[in-house]
Amino acid sequence: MKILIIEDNKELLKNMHDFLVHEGYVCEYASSFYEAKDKLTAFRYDCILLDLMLPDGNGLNLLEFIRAENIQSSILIISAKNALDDKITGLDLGADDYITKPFYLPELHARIKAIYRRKNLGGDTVVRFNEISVNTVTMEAKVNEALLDLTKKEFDLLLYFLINKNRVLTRQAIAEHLWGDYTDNLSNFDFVYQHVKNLRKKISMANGSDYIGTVYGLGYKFDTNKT
Amino acid sequence: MKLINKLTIWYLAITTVVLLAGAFFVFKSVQREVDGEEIRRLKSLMADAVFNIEKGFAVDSLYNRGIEVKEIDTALPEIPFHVVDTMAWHSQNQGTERTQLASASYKINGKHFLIYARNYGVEKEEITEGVIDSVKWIFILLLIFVIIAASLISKRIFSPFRYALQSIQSFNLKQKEPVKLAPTRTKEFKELNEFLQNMTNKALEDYKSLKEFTENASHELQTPLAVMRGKLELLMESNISDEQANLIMALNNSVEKLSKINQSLILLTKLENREYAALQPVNFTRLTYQVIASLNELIEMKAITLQKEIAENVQVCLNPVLADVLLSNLLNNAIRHNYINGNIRVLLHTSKLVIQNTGNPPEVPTQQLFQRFKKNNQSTESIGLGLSIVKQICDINHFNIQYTYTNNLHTVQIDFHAGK
Repeated sequence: MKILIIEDNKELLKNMHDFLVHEGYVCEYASSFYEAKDKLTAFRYDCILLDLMLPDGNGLNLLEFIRAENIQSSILIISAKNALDDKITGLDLGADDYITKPFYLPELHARIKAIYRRKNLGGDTVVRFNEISVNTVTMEAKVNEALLDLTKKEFDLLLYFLINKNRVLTRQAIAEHLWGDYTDNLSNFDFVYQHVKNLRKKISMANGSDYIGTVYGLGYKFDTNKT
Repeated sequence: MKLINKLTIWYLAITTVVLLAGAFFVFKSVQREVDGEEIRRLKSLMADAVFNIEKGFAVDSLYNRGIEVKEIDTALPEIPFHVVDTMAWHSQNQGTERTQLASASYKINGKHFLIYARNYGVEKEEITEGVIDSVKWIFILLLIFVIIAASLISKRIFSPFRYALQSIQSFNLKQKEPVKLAPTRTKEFKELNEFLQNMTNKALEDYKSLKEFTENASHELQTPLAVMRGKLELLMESNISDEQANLIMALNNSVEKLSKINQSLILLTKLENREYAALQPVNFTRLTYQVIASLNELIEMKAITLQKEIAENVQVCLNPVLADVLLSNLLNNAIRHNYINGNIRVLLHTSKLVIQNTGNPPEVPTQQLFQRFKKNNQSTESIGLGLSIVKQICDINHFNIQYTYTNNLHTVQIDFHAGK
């Protein structure tokens, strides 16, 4: 999958670039309005990450350009504005989703996957790893074809782990993924612990391997090398 | 009191003074003219008498015309014509009347005659009466016309002023529309309009730059925060020791907190800028159920007993985003500051929302908890802006909010119709 990152902050660009390249994506980047326009005219991308505030032109104008040129990429807006702002204009202009700064990189990854799945309806809607498979359309999770009885949150959590395999997921990142970005109750992470515990238990009971492990002091990790 | 009434009263007061002074001068000059005329008449009367005496008429025959003639010593010098104002008995009127007595002596045909001529003059009272009468009528006419004219003309003259007043009253920074003022040729109103125009334009500009600053500040802070968060995440992936993990986590928590504070402050600033207008009533009942549902897991995790008394179809005029923030913050607080196996009671009526929960007694007076960064327990992870946001939302929507602690219960009560 080919991604174009349009972001003027070099360090943030590097964060996203390094993370996504490590996940196996082909990443290109542009740090200005005109650079982005050039790249968009010359190449095709599956997904575009777009920072709305660019030094030489508003990101929204770029969005209009993308629509005018009928470029069929998924668009994920990176915005400093959150859901409490009057409106996320970008969504009206054909963007697929938006993510608020500061975001967690695994969250960014999950969003890219989600909009990609949504855009490509003919594509694979089942995320698989070894014996575990998760159907994002029917919302069913299976271990060795045995259906897991998961709550909505546990299902989301499992999908989040599967998308961010071998990544350290902090409790904050998990909490924000499950509860949205203005749940102020993140000081109490007991519920993240609770959900992870329940999920692990349910997978084990279905004779699945316990891939999810604790990373000392940091959070959790879906470790593909565990058996 | 209306300006035009004030002006009219002042105008009438000044007119009264002027009319009184004018009446005095009129009185004086009428009297002077009348007197002058009388004196001329007496003079000609006297000249007639002298003429008749010269012609040889008998002195006695002149008496009936108000003339009195006396013969005096020829050695005496001639007395020149002079008039004395005096009071004399008037037989017809049976009373004393003001009388002008003219006297002069003439030497005619070797005899010396002293001639008196008298005249019952016009009295002061009569002139006064006449003057007062006419001044009175002038005043009454003036009064009527001034009052009618004032009410008619003021409508016309003050129309730019009234227009300006109206546009100022309906002026709203959020609408970002400069005030519209009626053109006028009156100097004062021109100055006023100019001032209003400049002032409101300045306010609009300041408001705009403040808003831009808020937005920029948010953007400028969120980006470095995103960088920091990302770097920490990338660092986590590398081979690190437990000690380093602890350091990274501490940093991560601080970034988290910083980001939350930033978002909350931006929200507070926006609230202060009145950026969230209450467009239409929201169904508070449905919203309350939604928020409770979203927090259900947290409630269960703490084994909290939730009591609900929620009236059907409660409509509250409040921006839906703010309604959500309000309910989430209050319920989150009720959960966070609760015991395991505690209680929460949510009561929603058409006019009020009450949220009660068990919890440790507050360490600071409850009303102070609405202040920014004021926390009951300084060591907790919360940032201390949740209740400030709630208070601000209540303030801009004219709700009354109270926080009390009695019988081991924290109670937050919001009256929706307090300000109406």
